[in-house]
Amino acid sequence: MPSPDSELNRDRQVPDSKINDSDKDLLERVKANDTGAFSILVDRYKVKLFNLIYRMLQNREEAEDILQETFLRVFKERERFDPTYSFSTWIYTIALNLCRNELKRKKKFRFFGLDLIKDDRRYAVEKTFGSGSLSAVLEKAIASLPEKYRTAFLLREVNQLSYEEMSESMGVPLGTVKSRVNRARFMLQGQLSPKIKEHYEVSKSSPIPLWLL
Amino acid sequence: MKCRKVRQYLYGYCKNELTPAESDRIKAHLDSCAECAKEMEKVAVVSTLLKDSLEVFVPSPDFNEKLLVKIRSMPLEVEEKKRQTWWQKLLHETFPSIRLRWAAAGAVSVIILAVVATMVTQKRFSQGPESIVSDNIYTEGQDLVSSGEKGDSSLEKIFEQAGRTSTLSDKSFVIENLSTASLDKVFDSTKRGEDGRITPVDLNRRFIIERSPYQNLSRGNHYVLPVVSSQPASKKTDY
Repeated sequence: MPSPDSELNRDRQVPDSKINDSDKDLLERVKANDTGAFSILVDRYKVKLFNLIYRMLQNREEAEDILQETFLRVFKERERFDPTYSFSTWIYTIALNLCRNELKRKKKFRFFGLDLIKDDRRYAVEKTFGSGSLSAVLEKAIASLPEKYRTAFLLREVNQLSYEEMSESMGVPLGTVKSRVNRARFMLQGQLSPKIKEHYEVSKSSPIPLWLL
Repeated sequence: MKCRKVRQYLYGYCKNELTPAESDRIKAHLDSCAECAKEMEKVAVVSTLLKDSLEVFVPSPDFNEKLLVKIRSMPLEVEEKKRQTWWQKLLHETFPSIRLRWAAAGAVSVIILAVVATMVTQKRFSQGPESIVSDNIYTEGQDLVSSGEKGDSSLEKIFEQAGRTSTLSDKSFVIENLSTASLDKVFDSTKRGEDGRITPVDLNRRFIIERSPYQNLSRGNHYVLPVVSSQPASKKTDY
């Protein structure tokens, strides 16, 4: 007995989507309203994007909303996607723009005296890790980076985009992207070095030689 | 290569992001400079930390489900948005930032205030504080003429003004905003019909006054006075 989805697609003569299909192939099927193909795309990108968006916004619910909005945009604008570009760059561009707008909106709240951002940052990090762990220290340090450095750092270290992809999705020249990533790494090193030292002094079984720090 | 320059490349070197030539130069420097080599090891520690200690966050399990629900309810939404956006788009393109939009709104309200203020003050001045008959006379194609100074609410006065200009349109002219009260002053009230309608009055065999079909326009009562005699208005002295 055919599943409801394949029943739906039979009329359109679209072959079943495969997990291994390329993003662009899947998007072609999404254009023919194949929700199965869309689900595969969602599964392929949701964790990557969520890790980026969550770290940008520092609030889980907002991050999920923005993640959802990203995919909704992809679906709405599916006809407008230019296949000469990479799908990955496109979806990152959408997500980054939504993040940027959301941060701007939050800044406006802060302007009116509702300081939501700081609270979000503190609670997000401590809720997840507890305040002492190395991960918490690292997440705090990332959260404290200025927005443009944070974006660059996350796209590179978390999402592992190439500098070329980053340049395209951030809309910033290649050289600028590279220098932002480098700046961000040194900023983090500056914040982390004393904390790492502290951390390994407390837990004596340090795998890293202390003289390095 | 100077140490300061080398240190800028340490993360790139550590992460294999450099060209082979750059990489060789950094390596050569690190082999010969103990300070930079130590710095390099710090960089390596932080690099590893960045790689290993970054947690992976996962969206909630029902994320796909919620998303698909939204997708299925979408076509309507898109249509609704389109219906809204033409003026929003225009607004947003003309005034891209929220501050500009506020500024524009402020400017518009100032202009509206100014216009209203001008209208109010002008009306007050044109009416004049001493006038008893505040009716205005319009003649076709003419500017507003104010009539009725104190004790001078006669038809003569009105006709004098009208007569001067009636040559412009030799068939008729219009008196606008003439209230029934002031009409009673200038016309014999006995000439009014029982329904309040002014019956054709022969005034000096020159003018006949009739109720105009424009009466119901928002401007108020209009009276059309067709010229039935071509005698010049200035000769109506016996009125």
